[in-house]
Amino acid sequence: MTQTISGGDIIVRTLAGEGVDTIFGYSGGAILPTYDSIFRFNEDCEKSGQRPIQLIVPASEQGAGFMAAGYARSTGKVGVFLVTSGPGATNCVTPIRDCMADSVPVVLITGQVPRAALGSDAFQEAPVFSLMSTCAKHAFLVTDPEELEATVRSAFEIARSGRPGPVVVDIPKDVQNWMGEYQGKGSLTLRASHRNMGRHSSTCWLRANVRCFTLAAESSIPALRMSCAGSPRLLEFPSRRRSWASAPWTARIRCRCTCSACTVPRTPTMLSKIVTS
Amino acid sequence: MLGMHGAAYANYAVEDCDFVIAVASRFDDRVAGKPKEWAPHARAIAHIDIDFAELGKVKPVNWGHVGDAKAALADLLAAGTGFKKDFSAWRAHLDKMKKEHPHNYARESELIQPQYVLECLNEVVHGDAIFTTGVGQHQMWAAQYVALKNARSFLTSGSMGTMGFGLPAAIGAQFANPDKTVINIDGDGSIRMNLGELETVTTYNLPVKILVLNNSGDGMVRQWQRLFFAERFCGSDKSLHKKDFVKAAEADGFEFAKRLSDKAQVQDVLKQFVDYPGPAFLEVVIDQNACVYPMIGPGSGYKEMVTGEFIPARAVAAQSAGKADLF
Repeated sequence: MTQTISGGDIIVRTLAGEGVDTIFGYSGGAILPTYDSIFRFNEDCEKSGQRPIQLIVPASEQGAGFMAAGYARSTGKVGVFLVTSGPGATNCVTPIRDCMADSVPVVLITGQVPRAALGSDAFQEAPVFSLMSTCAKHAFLVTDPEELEATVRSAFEIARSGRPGPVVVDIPKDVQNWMGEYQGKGSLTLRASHRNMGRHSSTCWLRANVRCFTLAAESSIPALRMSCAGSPRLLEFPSRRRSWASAPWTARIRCRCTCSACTVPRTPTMLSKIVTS
Repeated sequence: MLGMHGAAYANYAVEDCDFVIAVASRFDDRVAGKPKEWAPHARAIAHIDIDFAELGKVKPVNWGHVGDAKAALADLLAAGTGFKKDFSAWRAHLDKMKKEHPHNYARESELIQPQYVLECLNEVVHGDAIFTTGVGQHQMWAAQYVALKNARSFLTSGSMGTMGFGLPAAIGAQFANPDKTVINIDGDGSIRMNLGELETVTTYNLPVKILVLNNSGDGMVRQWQRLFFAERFCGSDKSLHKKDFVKAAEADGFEFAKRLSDKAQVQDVLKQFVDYPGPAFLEVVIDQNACVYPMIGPGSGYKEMVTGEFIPARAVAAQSAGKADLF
């Protein structure tokens, strides 16, 4: 029979399962349940001879963020930092944006006020999801404790896949105190799945490109029909694409999305200019 | 390194080349201040990046490929098996430019020049360390002068430019690499932003080496005010004149905490500093007026590169706009 453990315990076990050996973190009210879980996890490790997770305490949350970044940049592994709600989380905006700008894989776990207090200007409450979603690769606010484990695991997958970047998981205190089962597997199904970026990154695309260009070069009005399911970033951030429309492509390939959920039906894509000369 | 403070010869190579292969490069404004004028003679640009959104974002490319750099390059090499071309004339041209336009500084000055400190540091560590930096002049000097041997060994806030990055990043790197030498090359303005982390270093007895190049204030701000704002040093003359960094380090438990202001002692003290087995803090009092050169002003093209007093320029730089419209 599976044992029931706290949300905090589930967080720590998921971190351990992702290979985390070091957490940089500054404590506070809304993250204390998870801190307690780390203490008990390491106590159990001592008894069983397993590797504990070392918890490094900085002077400020921004320090924790840059320590996690230094850890990640020097190893290529995902750096982890853990802070409390409100000022703890807002002090992390700078390192999160810094990691985004330099493509550094980190996961930030922030405590949040209990779900019932969300939006009430509670003590040490800040709109972490809103703040972070504009500067992180991805941000989560865990509202359903049943999805806690999968969310934490997905955060690591997103941080390290494709172009690496920072992921924030905001976890209300009552979700940390919730009692449930640890599955040991499973991650979220994301519509804009970053996991699918792996397919784009595969080198078979090089050959596919060449073939595509050969075909397109033979055509006067080339059109390419494809699904956006695997290319979320292709369809996001219009500002990044602003130069595409004016790019002097010898032949422009049209990308038509076949995914029903997609709101961008026709996107000029610039897989490459075809060098015909 | 190329761009705003890149090596003169690297920037000249960009000016002269006729084909660019960019791997994991974003063509940001520090590299291409004027994207249209960047690599003006390049007949084609090839770009490999893991993020589709980067291809064509700033600079239109003739051939783009989305992929992991290592795998993509390996695939490209395999695809090009049998390709042969004689590039020896171009290589000779590059070698000549390296010889004629190397990094250089006021070597004869009696004041300690930051570049000299970094050259001496290279002789002690031979690139076998992980370096972190803050943001500003010291960051650019470090990028120009520090010799690197290993991958993932120069940790710097390259895009965001966050002052205060260096010390905590060094702490994180040391935890991840307990057997390596980790050196935080910092500025007095940058380190002050996260100075509280000095105590973290001693609490965990990390052998992090903290080298502060102290020019009593925000040198890069002063440099811009000197160049673009007719020496109106608004705000930049008000801080870091009283700070005693050595006392601060001692107060946080550093047993090795020294101030170095005699040029003749730089080599010896740097060796003691790097060889010290525990946490070590070294403040070097440098020439307050030292500037970072070469420099391409914000929003300017490579043609407008200023190489300063000590780096021979290839031609007289075009007149700068005078006032910084960009950032």
